[in-house]
Order: sequence, then structure tokens, then C-alpha cells
Amino acid sequence: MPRVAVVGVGISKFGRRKGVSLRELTFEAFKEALEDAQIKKDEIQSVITGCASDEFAMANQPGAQIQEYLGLNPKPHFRVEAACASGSMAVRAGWMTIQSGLADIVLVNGAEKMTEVSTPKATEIMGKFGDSTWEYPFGISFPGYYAMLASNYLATYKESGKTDLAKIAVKNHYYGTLNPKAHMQKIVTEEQALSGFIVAYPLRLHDCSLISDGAASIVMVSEKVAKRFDKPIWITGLGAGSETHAIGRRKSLTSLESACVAADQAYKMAGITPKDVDVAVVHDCFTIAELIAYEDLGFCKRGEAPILIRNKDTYLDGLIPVNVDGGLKAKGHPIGATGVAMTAEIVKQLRGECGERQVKGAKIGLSHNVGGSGQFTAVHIYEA
Amino acid sequence: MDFKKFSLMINEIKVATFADSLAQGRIMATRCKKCNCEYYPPQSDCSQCLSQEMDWFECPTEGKLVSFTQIMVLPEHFALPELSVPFAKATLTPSPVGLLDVKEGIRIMGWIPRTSANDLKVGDRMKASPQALDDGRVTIILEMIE
Ligand SMILES: [Zn+2]
Repeated sequence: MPRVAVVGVGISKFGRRKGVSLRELTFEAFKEALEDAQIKKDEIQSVITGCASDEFAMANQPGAQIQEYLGLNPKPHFRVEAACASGSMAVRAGWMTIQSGLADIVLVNGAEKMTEVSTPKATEIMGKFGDSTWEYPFGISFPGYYAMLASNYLATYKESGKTDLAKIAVKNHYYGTLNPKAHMQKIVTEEQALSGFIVAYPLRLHDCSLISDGAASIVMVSEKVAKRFDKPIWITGLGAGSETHAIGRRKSLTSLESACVAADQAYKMAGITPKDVDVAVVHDCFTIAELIAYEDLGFCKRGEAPILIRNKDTYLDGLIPVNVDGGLKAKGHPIGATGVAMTAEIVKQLRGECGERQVKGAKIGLSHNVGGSGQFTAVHIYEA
Repeated sequence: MDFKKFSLMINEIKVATFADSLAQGRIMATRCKKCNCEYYPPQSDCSQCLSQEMDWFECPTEGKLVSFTQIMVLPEHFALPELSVPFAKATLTPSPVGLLDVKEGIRIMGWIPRTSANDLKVGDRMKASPQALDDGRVTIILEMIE
């Protein structure tokens, strides 16, 4: 099978982007991606936009707003929605579009503008990503779902503790300071992380990713076209899985089956094992999610994720650097943009363009993007 | 009865009588007549064998707490001043929420009133029961078995 490459990436500044609209955010990322790929707008043959929520966008066709604003009409365009995994599923759809032969040059955008609504409203919108009929009536917020996973994880693995969650926050905030596009560039200490106010027990303020505005764009091309680009990064493995909507019906509360299935497919397709991964970005919407991701991705055995973070094995110089761009935790989590921004980060890592946060000699990268509390997971593997 | 007595979002659902049963003090689930697969929350269709022939049965209500949380930053529906959070009027502190494992494949979600997350642990023996709220809605609570 011919391969698909990413040849251009762009990310808007993430953060509380007051006074900037969804389409304007996307324009920032789009322009940077085109310049990075050194292609002209008119060369794009097909477009896919990941955007998670009409309620955040306050519009029912946010994708169409973006397409028009980028000046891409009348090229084929559709939107992909898979909650917080919308971005990675859009990348997956971009890969399919190219592999099907429908297009050789595809633009994939991810965008979300989340801060224009109040925090209680944002909490409501996010809460309704869960089962709005049967579970939302119990006041379940999005942090509440991951808090349920955390309570069960901490009870299941007796030697794990809340300090392990805090250590994830400390790491990711540290790396956020090295990423100029990150929402928050501030060190958080373990003491601060352990004393923040409780958002959803046992998760505290610093266990939660940031509600952010942001966009990311990438240019994907077929192998045939890739020859003309200097530094193509190849997508060599893709995996995806799904999971029950209701948390009450999960087989496990210490793992996401969707992520295990997705990782397994992606590793097989790429012909690699977890040990071969040089750099990873994982979906740390909450600190517990990063711990669980270590295990679901096979970076360690079940119950051993706390040891990985205690040993700093997921730091820049560790065995498997994870989220050295600050993760969703510090970079921010504009939900539809997140997956595309993950791809952009790994592409830059494999090109060796990450400066202070560069993993030296990284050849193989991985992104792990989870929608909802696991309802959708996409894992992609990339090679230089 | 109005399913909105239980749900905040929808009123029309084939299993709406779930809310009537709750009001009468029973937590109901459904079982597929063809493959015996059990559903809680109840379903009118079997996701396993695709049969639409289902029986109602009353859930067991005692079991072990599988997980819990206490949500301090609440969705807008619940974050309105007073009354919107069950059991919270006195202190304006929302109750914890838990998942109770009552039998293989059935976990009941409920509020855990008059307690704090610090006093709960996974594995606690609890009982689920329907509870009428002041605003006419019905919900489910979990209480410690002494
Ligand atoms: Zn059946």
C-alpha cells in the first residue's frame, strides 16, 4: 500500500483568545500550515475539519464558516465529530481520502472556541458529552467521569496515590513553559497540585486540562506527491476504537478498551512495538488519563504507570518522553483542535524542530487522542 | 408519567415507565426475552441479538460501591442557586455520586446524600433506592448499609 505523509503543520496560539473567533483562529493555523508546506492554497484538493461542539461554536455549521473564511470553496469539505477525538478522526479521514484515490493533497483542520461561554455553561456542554439521558441527571460533569476512573484506579492499585496524579501535572506544566503556543506557561509544584481546589473528587484544579480556544491545520499528501516535499513525515500506523457511552456499563474503570484496541491496531499496522516509540503525545485531559494511557499504550504493565512517572521515565531524557509539549494539561484543550495539534507536534518532533523540548534523534512518534471519556480513541504512528 | 421527572433532557423514550416505577419505589431494568441479556439503564431493544421483546424486572438494590466522585464545579443545570442540586440546600455542597455494583452487568448510579467523598471508599456496602425531590422529580440515592 502506498503511504500518506504530513508535509505541513500549523498551530494557532492556544489560550483564552478573547476577541478572536473560531474562523479567525483557524486562519492562523491554516496560513502557518501552508507556509510550512510551501504550497499554494489552490493546490489543496479536499478539506476535512474536526470540530466537536455546535454549542461551543454557537453555530450549526462551524465547518462551513471556516471553509469559506479560508477561501477554499468550492472544494469538497466535510466536518468530523468525535468529541475530543474529532481532530484525530479528521486526520484519519484525511488518510482515507488520500488512500481512496479521491485526492492527493488534503487539508485537515481542527478548531474549537470554548471560552466565550461561562464556566458553568462550559461544564454543562462538556457534561453532556456523557450520557445525557441516564447519567447527566446525576450532575455528572466531564471531570466527574474521569474522577470516577481515578477513584477506581487508586483503589485498585493500592500503591498508587494522588501524588502520582500531581506528578503528571508538574511534568506537563514544566514542559508547557517550553512551548510558546501553550495556553499556560507556568511551573506548578507538587504542593500546589496537591492543594488546588477540588473540581471533582479526587481531581483537583491542576489535575484538569484547560478550557481553551485554538486551532491546528495540517497538509497531508499521497506518496506520489510527497516526493516534491523536503521533510515528509509518514503516517505508518492508524488504529481506532470505541467504548460504551454510559460509564456504568464499562468492563473496566482502570483502562479504556477503545485505546487498547486502537493501540493494538496501530502497532500492528506500523509493524512496531511500544518499545520502538521515541516520543508520544497522549490525551491527558486529566492527569489520571495520562497514567491510564501509559498502560493502555503498553509503555508499562498494568498498575505500573505510577512507577513510570515517579522515575521520570516520561520526561525528555526518560525511556519514553510523553507530552513534552505540555500536553492538554498546559497547552490547553480546545477539543476539536487537540488531535490535529497532536499530529503537528509529532511531525515537528520527527523533523527535529522542537528546540528546547526536542527529543534527540526521535524517529518514531505516536499520538493518542481520546473522545469523551473513551467513547472514541484514535492512535496514530508516525515515522520520519 | 413524564420521563422528564427523571431526565433533564428528553421526554420521549420507549422505556419512560422507568420513571413511574421510580416514583413507586422500584428501580427497574429490562431483560431480553430471546438472549437473556440484561439492561440497566433499561432498553426497549436488545443491542446484542437485536430482539425487541423485552421483559421488565426489578433490580437488586444492594451491592458494593465501584467508584464515586463529588463534583464541586457543577454543570449549569445544577449550578443555579439553591434547589437544583438534590440534598444540597443546607450547605450548598453537592452530594457525592457513586456507581453501585448490584449484580453482574448492572451498576446503578446515584447521589450519596449527607456525606462527603472523604468518608467513602470503593468497596463500601450500600443500598440504592428511589427518592422524590422537592421539585417533583425523582432520582436515585445510595446509602450505606449499617
Ligand atoms: Zn437479546
